Amino acid sequence: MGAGEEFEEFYGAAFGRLVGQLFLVTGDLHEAEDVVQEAFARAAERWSTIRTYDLPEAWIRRVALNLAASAARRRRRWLAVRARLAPPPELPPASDEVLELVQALGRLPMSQRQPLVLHYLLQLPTEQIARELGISTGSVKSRLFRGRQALAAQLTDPAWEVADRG
Amino acid sequence: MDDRILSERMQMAADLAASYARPPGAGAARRSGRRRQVRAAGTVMLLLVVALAAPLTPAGRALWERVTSPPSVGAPTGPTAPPVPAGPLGQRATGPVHRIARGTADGRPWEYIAYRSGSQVCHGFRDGPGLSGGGGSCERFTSQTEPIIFGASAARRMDGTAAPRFADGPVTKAAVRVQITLVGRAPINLQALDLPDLPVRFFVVELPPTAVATAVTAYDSAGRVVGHQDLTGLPTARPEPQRIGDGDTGWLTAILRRAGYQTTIGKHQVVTGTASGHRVLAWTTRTSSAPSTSFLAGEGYDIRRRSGTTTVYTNGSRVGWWAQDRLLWIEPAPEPGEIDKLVDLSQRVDRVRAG
Repeated sequence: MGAGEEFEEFYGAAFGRLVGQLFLVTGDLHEAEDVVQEAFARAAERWSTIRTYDLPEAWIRRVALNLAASAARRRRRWLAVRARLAPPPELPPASDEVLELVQALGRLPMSQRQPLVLHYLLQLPTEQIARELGISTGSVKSRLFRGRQALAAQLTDPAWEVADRG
Repeated sequence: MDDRILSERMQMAADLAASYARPPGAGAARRSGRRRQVRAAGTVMLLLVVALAAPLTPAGRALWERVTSPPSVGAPTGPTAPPVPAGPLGQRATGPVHRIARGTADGRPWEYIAYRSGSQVCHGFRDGPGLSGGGGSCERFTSQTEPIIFGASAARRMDGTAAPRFADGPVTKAAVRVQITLVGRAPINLQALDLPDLPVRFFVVELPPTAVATAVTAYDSAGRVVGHQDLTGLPTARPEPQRIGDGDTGWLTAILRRAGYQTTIGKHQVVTGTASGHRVLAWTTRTSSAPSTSFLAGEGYDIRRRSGTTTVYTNGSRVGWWAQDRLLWIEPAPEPGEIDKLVDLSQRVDRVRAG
C-alpha cells in the first residue's frame, strides 16, 4: 500500500473518532471538525515521518488539542461581549444527559477539559496525558481533581450525588 | 463521583459527534498540506532570490512585495540604484547597520535590521546560524511613498517546521505608534522606532502563530492617524466576528436558500447550508476591489474555473470569488454546476438589501 492510500485509509478510520473526542473539548461540532481537519492537513505535510510513529493518531490528536486551545484563547477576550449575541454552538441531536455533560464541560477551563477527556474518554494514564499535553504528571492530577469536582457540582444525575456522598 | 458514569456519558457524546462528523476528505487534507509546503518552499525560494540575486531590481522588489505585502495602490518607488557590492541584506551599507529587534524562534536566532544604502533604505531579516539567512528589500522613500508598508513574512520553513511570523515594516517619520488589529485578539500596540539617520521609522513584532491581522494603523504624537492599511479581504483574513445581523449573513442566507440549501447561522458570521445531505460553509471577507490572480496565487489559490465573467479561485478545499465588494468563500468546494449557480446568485441578489 502506498503512502497516499495509507493516509486515506488512516484518515477514514480516525477522522470521526477524533472529531468525537475534540467535540467534548470544544463543545462545538463545527469547531471540532475544523481543528481535526487542520491537524490532518499538517499531518499530510510530513506523513512520511508520522506514519512511522507508533501512534500517529496521538500526534494528530495533540495538534488538534493545541489548535482547539489556541482557538479558545483567541475567543476569550470578547467572549463576554458575544455571550448574549452569538448563536449557540452546533450540537448534534442528543439526549439531555449528553447535552448536560457537554454544557458542563464547556463551563470548565480548557486546561481541565483536555485532561478530563483524555482520562475519562480515552482511559489514558496520567503519564501519557502529561506527554500529550506537554505538562507534568502533577499538573495532570491536579487538573483532573479540580475538573472532576467542578463536574460533580454541575451534573444533576442522582448517581453523581450518591457517589459523591459515598 | 462515579467515574464509570462519566466515562459512559463521554463515550455517548463522542460517538454521537463522530456519527455526525462530515469529513472534508483525505484529499482535501493532503492538498491543503501540499499547498502549505509548496507555498513555504516558494516563499523561502523567493526570499532567497530576492535577497541574494537581485534585491534592487524592479523584478526583485516586486517579488519581495508579493511575498510580504497585501496589494497596495499607488506606492511609487524611486529609480533603481545601480548594482553595488553585497551588504547585510544584499546591498552595501553606506551608514550604520541598525538592529531594530532580535530574538530566537525554534532555536534559530533572528534579527531585523535597517540601514542606509546610498539614497535608499534597506530593511529586513537575517536569521539562522551566523545570521546568514533571511532577506529584505531596499527602496527610496519619498513623499509619494505609502505612509505605512505592512509586511507579514513567511510562516514555515522548507522542512515543514514552524517558523516565526512577523508583522513588520517601515512607517512614516511622523508616526510614533503603530497598532495592528487582530481577529479575536486584543490589538498589538508598538512604538515606531526612530533612527535619526533614516527617513522612516520601523515597527516589528513576532505574531502568535494563529493570529490573523486585519488592519495596521499608524498614529502621530497627538494621536492622529497618519497611515492606515485595511488588510481584510485577503484570503488569509478570516471573517471578523460581528453582531448578529450586522454582517453579510442575510445576503449569504438569501443566496444559499435560492440555491436550494437550508441554512443556519453559525459562529463568526459563517452560514451553514445543507442540501441533500451535503453541507457547505459560506462566509465573506471585505475587499473594495477584486484581488489579482497573481496575488491570490501567492496566497496558495489557483483559478478553479471561470463562471461567466467571474473568476473562481480554490486552494483545494474551498472556493472563493469576488462579488459586490466582497470575497465570498464556500467550503468545501461544491460541484462545478453548483458553483456556477452560486456565483450567478451572488451577482444577482443585492447584498445591501438582503443584509
